[in-house]
Amino acid sequence: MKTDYGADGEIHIEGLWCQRGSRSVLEGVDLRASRGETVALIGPSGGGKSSLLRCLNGLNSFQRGAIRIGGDPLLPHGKTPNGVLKRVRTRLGMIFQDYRLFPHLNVLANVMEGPLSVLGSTVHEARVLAEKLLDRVGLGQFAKARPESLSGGQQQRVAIARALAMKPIGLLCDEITAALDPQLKGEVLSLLEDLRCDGLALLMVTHEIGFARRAADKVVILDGGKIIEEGTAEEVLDRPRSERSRDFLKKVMA
Amino acid sequence: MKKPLPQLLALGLFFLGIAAAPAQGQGTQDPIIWGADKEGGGPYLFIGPEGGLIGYELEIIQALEKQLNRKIEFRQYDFASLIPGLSKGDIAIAMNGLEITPERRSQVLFTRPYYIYRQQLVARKDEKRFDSYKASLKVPGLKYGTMESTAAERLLRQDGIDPATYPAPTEAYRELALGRIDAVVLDLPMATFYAKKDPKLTFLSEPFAPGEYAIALAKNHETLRGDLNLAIGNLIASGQLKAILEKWDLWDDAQAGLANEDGMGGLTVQDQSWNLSSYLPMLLKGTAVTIALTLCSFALAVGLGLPLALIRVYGPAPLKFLAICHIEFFRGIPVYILLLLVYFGLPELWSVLNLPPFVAAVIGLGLNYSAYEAEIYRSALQSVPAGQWEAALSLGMDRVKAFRRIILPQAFKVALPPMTGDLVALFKDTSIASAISLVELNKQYQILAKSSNKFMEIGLMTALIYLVLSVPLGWLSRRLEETWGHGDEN
Repeated sequence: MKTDYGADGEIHIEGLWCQRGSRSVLEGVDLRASRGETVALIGPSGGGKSSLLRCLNGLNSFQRGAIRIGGDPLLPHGKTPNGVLKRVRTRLGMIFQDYRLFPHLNVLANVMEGPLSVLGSTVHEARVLAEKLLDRVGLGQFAKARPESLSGGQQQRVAIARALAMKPIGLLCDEITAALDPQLKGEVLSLLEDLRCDGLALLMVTHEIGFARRAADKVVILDGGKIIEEGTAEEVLDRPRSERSRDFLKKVMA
Repeated sequence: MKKPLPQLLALGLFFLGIAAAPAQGQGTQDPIIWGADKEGGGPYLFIGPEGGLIGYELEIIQALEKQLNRKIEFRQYDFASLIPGLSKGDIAIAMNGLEITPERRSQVLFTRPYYIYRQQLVARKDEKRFDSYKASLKVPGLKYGTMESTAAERLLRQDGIDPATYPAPTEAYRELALGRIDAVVLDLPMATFYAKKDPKLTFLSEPFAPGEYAIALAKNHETLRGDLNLAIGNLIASGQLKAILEKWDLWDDAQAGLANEDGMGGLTVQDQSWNLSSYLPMLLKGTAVTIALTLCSFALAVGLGLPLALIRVYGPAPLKFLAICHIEFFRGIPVYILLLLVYFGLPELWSVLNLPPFVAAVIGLGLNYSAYEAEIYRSALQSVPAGQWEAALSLGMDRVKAFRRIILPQAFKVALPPMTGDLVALFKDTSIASAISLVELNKQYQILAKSSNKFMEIGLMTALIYLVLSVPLGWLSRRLEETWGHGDEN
């Protein structure tokens, strides 16, 4: 399921400033992610990780800086034209900590909803794709089930299938295993490791240091709205340069 | 054996006391309770400009008080309920322009008549289609109005006419002047009092269909009737009654018949006998009006309620304020007053807003319920978590699409049970439309029950009709809840 978005199939962030009320949550963040690359965003809570993800698909607006998604620029102050915003949002799927499946639709219809209402697919196309994706996340037999009848891990896998149905270039994952029991975390994380091979850019806000070490091509520590550490998993996790990074890692790995 | 004497004495005194009690009471007899409806209006009994009760019947009552040397106390009583009120014992006499009919005669006693009434046809000045009651019967589609539970209503029904009925003559003449109806048939005293001075109205032809007003009493009040008959006889013989009637512009040649103690004997208006086949068609007609009124009002309420809720939840501040004003206003004022405002009030502002009763009722009930629906939808919309919006937007939906495909279906599920509850409540609330002369099921029941005095039989029938309709409605609401709550869309 490769989709050609041209040469610039990438996520660019440059000098991003984001203010919520009088508090600035991001203070000049630069970051790049390419297709097939997994970036783990870690750091203390309130450090700006979630805000960064939400700026990327326009759920939060930002005040200064530049964001380009697959060549399309997002404009500050929520001034991005609707057409561009829609294109950006179809290119970046978002997965939430609390799944947010549509409770009035069954599992299959949840996955079909995006292609049907946004991409203009026919019912047949949407159904074939959704069935394929449900098989891909290992839930083919639950197509007719109501979302609330599934376990948390299963619901999160449906949410991933729902995002994949839009044929995105990347997924924004906002602490997607934080609400899951340890044994359910595994099924979601291993699914994500698989997806990397499909050429997706994965931006993951996570507290799973083990997962970051195993699967991330790049690990970024965000603290106080700034990137205080950036590099490969070994560089960041084993040889952090700043004192604040060392303090943070000591706490989470203890 | 000395002891019993004082005891016997005491006992004897005790019995003497009991025997003396009624004799004592005769000097200060209880007042006679007189039931009448001051809302029925002039010239019978009404509130005068100074705020007190006036009316020619009050003056007759005062003359009777003197004749009987006994106090007669007024009690306000709904005109259409006077006869049942006598049977219940709430009132001892009823005097309120009450016509003698064989049907009433079978339920209550009547004194000798104190006034001979006739019917007067009143139309608008510019009326060209008819010049008498007989001629009016030949004009197709003519709308008649009258007061409920009157001889005029019976006369019209007897001639195959289904008139609009009002609780008071003022409303009938007002509707006539507004052009909502074409002719009013009512007793001459009312016509003289209300319609004669209205420049827009005119009396057509001579009064017709005479009948008698008399005082009604419960069946066991023979003695009082005898006293009253003597007293009325005295008022007639002494010319006092004539003086009162002349003062009120009511004396005419027809009153000569009052001298005859037994009255006219015969009646121009025949009695109807009531059975299932005579009242059921009328009840069903009322039912059809009730159903139509419920559905139309609810459609209006939902049609207004949804945009109101949307504005209230998502709209800009000034519009939001207006929506809140609408909701609070129409939720805050009694629907009864709202109906009167729409039906009687609006034409005062602008004659084009002279709405038929059905339309006015739909607007009044619809506006009232739109406030309730808006609040149901608001809380339903707010019950959908904000995360559902973000999930929908993240898929690339615009806000309209996200609302239509994701938020609305979830909110609808939440709103459905209270909505169907409101539908049932509205179904029952439609009965209030009788206030603006719309004859729906409840009003039809009142008319039929009061005309036939079969409150129980027709009441049970009416209740049955309401049940037959509201039970399936409840069943439907449960079915809808199940379908929307657990069904699969694929």
